[in-house]
Amino acid sequence: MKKILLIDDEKSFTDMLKLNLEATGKYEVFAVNSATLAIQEILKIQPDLILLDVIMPDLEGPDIAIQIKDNSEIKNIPVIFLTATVRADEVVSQGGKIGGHEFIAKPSTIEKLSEIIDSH
Amino acid sequence: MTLSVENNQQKPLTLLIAEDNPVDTRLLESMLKNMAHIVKDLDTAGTVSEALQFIGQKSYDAIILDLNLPDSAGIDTVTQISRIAPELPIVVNTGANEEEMGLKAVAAGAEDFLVKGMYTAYILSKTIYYAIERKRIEAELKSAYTALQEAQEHLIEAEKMKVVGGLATGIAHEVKNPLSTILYGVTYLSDHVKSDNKNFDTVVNNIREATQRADNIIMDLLDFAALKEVETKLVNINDLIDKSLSLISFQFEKKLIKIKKEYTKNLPNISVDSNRIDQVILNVLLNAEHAIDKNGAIVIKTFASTMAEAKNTCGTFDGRNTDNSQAVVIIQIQDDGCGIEADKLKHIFEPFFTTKRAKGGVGLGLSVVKNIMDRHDAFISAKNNDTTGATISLIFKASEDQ
Repeated sequence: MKKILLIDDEKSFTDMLKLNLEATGKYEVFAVNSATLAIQEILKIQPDLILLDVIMPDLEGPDIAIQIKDNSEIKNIPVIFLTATVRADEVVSQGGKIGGHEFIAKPSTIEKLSEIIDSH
Repeated sequence: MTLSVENNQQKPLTLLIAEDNPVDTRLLESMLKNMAHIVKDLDTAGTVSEALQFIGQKSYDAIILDLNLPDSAGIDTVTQISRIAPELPIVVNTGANEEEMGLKAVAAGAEDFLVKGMYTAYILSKTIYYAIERKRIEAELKSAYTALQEAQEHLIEAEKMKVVGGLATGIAHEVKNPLSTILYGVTYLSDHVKSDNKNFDTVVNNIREATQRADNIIMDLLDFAALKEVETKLVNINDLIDKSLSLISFQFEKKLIKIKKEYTKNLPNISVDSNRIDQVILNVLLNAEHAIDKNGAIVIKTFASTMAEAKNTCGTFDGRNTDNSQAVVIIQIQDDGCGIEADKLKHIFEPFFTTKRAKGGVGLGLSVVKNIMDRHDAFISAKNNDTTGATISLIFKASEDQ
């Protein structure tokens, strides 16, 4: 079963997403709601894929992505950004990438999300 | 002594005298006719209505106006003339002891005044030239003031856009997160929770739809605020409309709306971001559809024209900085629906203005459209048809590369 780590400061959001993703029976889902604890949790959990919020207090998603890339132990874990402030057509026009990472507009359907997770 | 044309670098003048006293008229005529190098043409009217007739037929450089004529008296004489001919310099010719009246006439819009019996040919010619010059400067000042006002409005508009941009991103972040939570919560309930309550599905579906609608509004807001640079290429406008039509024709069929295409073939190409203009055409077509209750018709015309013609026929739009001879390609989308209330017509392109609030519109559609047209250096205008419904015109400059 794929291990997914959600990094997002909104606990209610990660709770709901975790419920839905786990209900598919395909994933084991972990969540961390503090950006400053993110790296520590990634190292501990060693997920197969990370869903990372862009705008968070303390530390923003892209900063965390850089820290992941700089850490040889976790640098190969795929990171997908979740963002509320881009439009679907921007995702398309940028080839679906922010700084080389895929991104998904919030809210996306569970089917869409699941499809992208499974492509990794 | 009289002023010479050469010194003033003025053309010889075409003047109108409005005076009912034959002695005063003759005196003025003889003074002016003696200044053949200054006066090219001279007409004389005995009443205000006669003067207005002359003004209607010919263009004058100035009028020398007696305040008391058989059909008008006092300041009213000045206002009657300036109302019909606001650009015409007025020199009032008052009787002796009427200096005060002369000053009042200037306050009411005359450029200057002469007191009968107190002026020479030199004073007369000087007064006329000064009056013309004063009117010219006044007009320049007025147009500079208008330009300044417009520049200020543009600045305010730009500032507003900046605020909206900041707000949009802020709102998107703050609202989309809870919306996502609601949507995933509802998804979980509908996919994985069973309930015996007969209203369960209705409640869940209503929440899902409302969430989706709120999400769409935020999308519109982001669209409006974050419009990026456009990526243009040469396109044929008829092809572009057909593409947009193909996306929504089912919606027209559903409401029994007929689409009538009146395309002009071989139009000059226009240089646009076709995705963006597609969005514009779709939006305008959907507005036309909304305006029609059922069983209506939408006529789509395309034709080549000039800016001057567009300014004359397409309703009001801000094309003043574009040369009148500019070649343009116009799309007109004409519906036979409910039309646009006259007092709303000039606001329909403003953000958050909507006539469809009750139907869930937030008033961003047409402002996004206007924003996109602005980015293309193109224009949009709306007017009501003579009979029923409204016509939206999309005016694009024809591309120089073809």
